[in-house]
Amino acid sequence: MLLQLEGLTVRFGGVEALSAVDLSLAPGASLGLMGPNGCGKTTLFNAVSGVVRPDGGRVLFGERDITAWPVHEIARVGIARTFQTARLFALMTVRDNVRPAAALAHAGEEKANVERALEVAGLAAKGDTLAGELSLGEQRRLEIARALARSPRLVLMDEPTAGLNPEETDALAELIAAALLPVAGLMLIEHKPDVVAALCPMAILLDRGRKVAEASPAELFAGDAFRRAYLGAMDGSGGARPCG
Amino acid sequence: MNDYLVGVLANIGIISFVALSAYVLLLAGEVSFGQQAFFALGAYAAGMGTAMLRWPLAPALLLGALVGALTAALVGRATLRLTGLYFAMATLAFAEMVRILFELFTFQVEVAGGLVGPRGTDGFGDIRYLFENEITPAQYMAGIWVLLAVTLASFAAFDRSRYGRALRQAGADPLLAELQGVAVVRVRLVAAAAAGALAGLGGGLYAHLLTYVEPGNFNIMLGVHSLAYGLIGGLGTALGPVLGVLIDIGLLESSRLFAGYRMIVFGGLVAVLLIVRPRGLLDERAVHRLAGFCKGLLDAVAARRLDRSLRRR
Repeated sequence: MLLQLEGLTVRFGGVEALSAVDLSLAPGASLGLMGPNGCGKTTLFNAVSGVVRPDGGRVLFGERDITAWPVHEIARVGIARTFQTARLFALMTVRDNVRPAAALAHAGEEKANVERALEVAGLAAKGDTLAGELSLGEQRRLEIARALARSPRLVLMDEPTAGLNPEETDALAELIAAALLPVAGLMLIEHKPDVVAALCPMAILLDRGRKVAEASPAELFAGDAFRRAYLGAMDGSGGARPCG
Repeated sequence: MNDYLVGVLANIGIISFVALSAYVLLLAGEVSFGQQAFFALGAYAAGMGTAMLRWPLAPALLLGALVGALTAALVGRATLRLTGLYFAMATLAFAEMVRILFELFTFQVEVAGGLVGPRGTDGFGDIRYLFENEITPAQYMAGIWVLLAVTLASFAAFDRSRYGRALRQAGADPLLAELQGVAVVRVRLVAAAAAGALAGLGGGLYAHLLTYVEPGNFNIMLGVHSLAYGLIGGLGTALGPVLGVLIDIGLLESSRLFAGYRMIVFGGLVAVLLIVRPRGLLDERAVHRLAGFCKGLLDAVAARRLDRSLRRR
């Protein structure tokens, strides 16, 4: 397995943000993460990437237990991450945003890999532009270029299409499918069903920190668990909660 | 060149080192009000090197830089996990501690029939290496600027290296930098040590220029100014803090342009710039535009040369 979570639990004070979540991802596979806001999707990414330390359970990456590792060491073993709002070094050029990632993976071939990643992401002409001057769509592409440049084994993408219009969404999904899926495993948090269905053969549903279903996106969207998680119980046994 | 101008230029060169020291920490995302402590440690260590141990100037200056670096690394280890206001307060507290320790520090040895060494609040005099070795003020000033030029050239090379990028990334967004594989705490520790070395070197140069230092020379105003120089001049390049020093010492202080109102003008300048250009005159955007302009200019010159040579054929 590329990634295995065993009983992953994260608490913030009295709130259990993740409750004993188990999942596994084979090398090169992709998995969608769905669920309403506050269900623990981003917390799961934070726990895998080392940003928060789990209160219980284990994160296994390949053969290694990376549960208590510092963030930069987890990054160095090949886990790349993007954020819900594009996170870039705004005062550095596009090229300089990508360079450190390329250096991480390709000692001595840094320059060629930076250019290749920019080319694939459609940013070759923007290499000398400050990252803060890019449009939102280009910033999303830059995040992908940065992930690509380091030859990751796993990419965690947190709502990559948030804020994009339908054309930009389709173009970004195509880019992810063409450039990332063939080379790395993918875990994708996304609220747009079409995007999840296009990129992930399997998806899990989180509700209040628990994994409540795992199925193909089509089965998941049609299931009761999905409706319950997003709209609340319809039989009067529980109140509806806002959906994400 | 008259003596006054030589003195001003030497002073600008020396203060640039402590300004660069605060600048390095600003790049690392930390605000230090305490770089004067390492300046003081460098001044005392280098002064003791030449006046008490009778060392030549170069190894004494090196000793000052080394003492600054080691102390900064030790202090950094204890404080660099703090951020923002807490780090700023810790550095200020440390600097005041150092200043008070020097007020209590007396250690004199007999050299050529007289007692030489730090004497608490009375300071540390007789750092007479320049006189004893017949180095003129103009020669010393030239030496200071050669050292500064080498330092600035090193900064330019560093900025283009992966370590330079890692430092700026750690300062801009520590979490994102960690996610790119940058060991932020280690980067900041190395930055703190380098900043300590720069301040220590500046302190050593300062002690030998003045021949006399006292704890009062290293009060909080020096720390505040060091920080302000980077914020005025800009954080996009190491030339920024030097520009800040030039504006303050070269223009406001030395020209006596605003006489007794200098500090009001200086404070006002800092306040205005923090509002309209929070990262200083030579900020990252300005440096990026300048670099683009220079590249365009060089490309045009190269194209013209190529065109001319083709016509000749």
